Amino acid sequence: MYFSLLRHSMSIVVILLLAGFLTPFFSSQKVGCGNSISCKQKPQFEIETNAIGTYNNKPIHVPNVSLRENENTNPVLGASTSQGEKHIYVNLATQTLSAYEGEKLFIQTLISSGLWGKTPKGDFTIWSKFRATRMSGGSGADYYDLPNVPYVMFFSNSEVPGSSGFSLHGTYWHNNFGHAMSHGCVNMKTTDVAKLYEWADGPIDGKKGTIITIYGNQPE
Amino acid sequence: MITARHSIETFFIILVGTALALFITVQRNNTTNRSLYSSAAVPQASTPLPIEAPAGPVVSVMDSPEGSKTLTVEALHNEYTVFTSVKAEGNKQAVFQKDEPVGQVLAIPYNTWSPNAVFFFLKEESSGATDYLVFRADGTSFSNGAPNLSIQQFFKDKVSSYVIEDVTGWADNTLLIVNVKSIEGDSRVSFWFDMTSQTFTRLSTYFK
Repeated sequence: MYFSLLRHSMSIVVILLLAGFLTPFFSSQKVGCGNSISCKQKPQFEIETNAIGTYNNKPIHVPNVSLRENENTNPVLGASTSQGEKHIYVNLATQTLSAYEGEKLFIQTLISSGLWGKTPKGDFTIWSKFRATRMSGGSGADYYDLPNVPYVMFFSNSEVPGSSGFSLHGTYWHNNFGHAMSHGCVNMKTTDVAKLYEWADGPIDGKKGTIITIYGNQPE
Repeated sequence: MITARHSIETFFIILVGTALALFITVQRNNTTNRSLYSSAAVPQASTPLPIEAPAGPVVSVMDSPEGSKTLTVEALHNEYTVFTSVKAEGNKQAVFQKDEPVGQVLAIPYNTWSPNAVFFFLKEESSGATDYLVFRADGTSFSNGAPNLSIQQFFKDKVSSYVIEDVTGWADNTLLIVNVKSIEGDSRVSFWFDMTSQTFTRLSTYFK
């Protein structure tokens, strides 16, 4: 009788332990979709010429992407002069981004994180970089469909898969950095993100891309 | 035979298991503490504003978001000169010149440029008041013949019961985001100021 009760009790404990492990797993799947295109298919390099996009459900002129401009940029920093691990910090409370190589600050600037969608927090790595791609999402008054989104760095971790479409990227449709303004991605001024894009690494030779730590709470 | 001791042991095992499961759940969901595990120190943030301070005039500059134009404000003995330049052409376009009273400052906000670099706004601060002046990047006047639009003046003329706290930036190519609070100070809302119609639209979203 006692052993039977003990067995049942142990079963209950095992169930509770499993629930403890599985609850966060399932809760992590509740992270929204940062870009509905990459949530349906693998993102790809994509540019359009003289395109018209949609932002806040209104048409917007889309700047053309000149690939020649990259020919004038400096070589990727760190390729031959590495000074330590590269690490990007995004502080949601202050709406700032700071990128370090070892102890050396590479760039610090204002960003815009999620207003209409939540920006995920945690430690991530860059899993893919694109000079430009198309992004789409939202609904109703905040629907957006934006070709030529520049300097996109998709990030992910074990809880926020790459297919959720969250990224750091340039922004040609608003200039309100320092304030939450996105659907979950980290928006940056294009001139700032261009430098970061050249500096940060995607996965290379089995090594994960540059680490991104997103932390802090947005002002209520 | 189930004794009281057995019951207590069973209850204790269940209690420990439940506590362990809850602890694991809370820890795995607590993303705010994750940065504490990072090897590098978390930097303190500050608002960056590129300002050069040569021996002569104090020069403030800000590139447009896509990098095609530069806004420059030169201050020399309270005389402010504002001009823009197209990087590819290198020419300077004079936009505005003003002698500010002592103690009054004309500053470039970080989000000064409209996304398409057609407009920009400056922040004019004195001890008692702040105004936001919007200009065309090409230096041309607005339809009323004025070289700039005073957001404070437009707001006072068109919206009552609120005062401007800040103009944060551009929601799109023609919409300035204006954060205001009620005169009583108990509520905060955001407005759009539309450059094309020169009207204010109250928003349901507050841009913190």
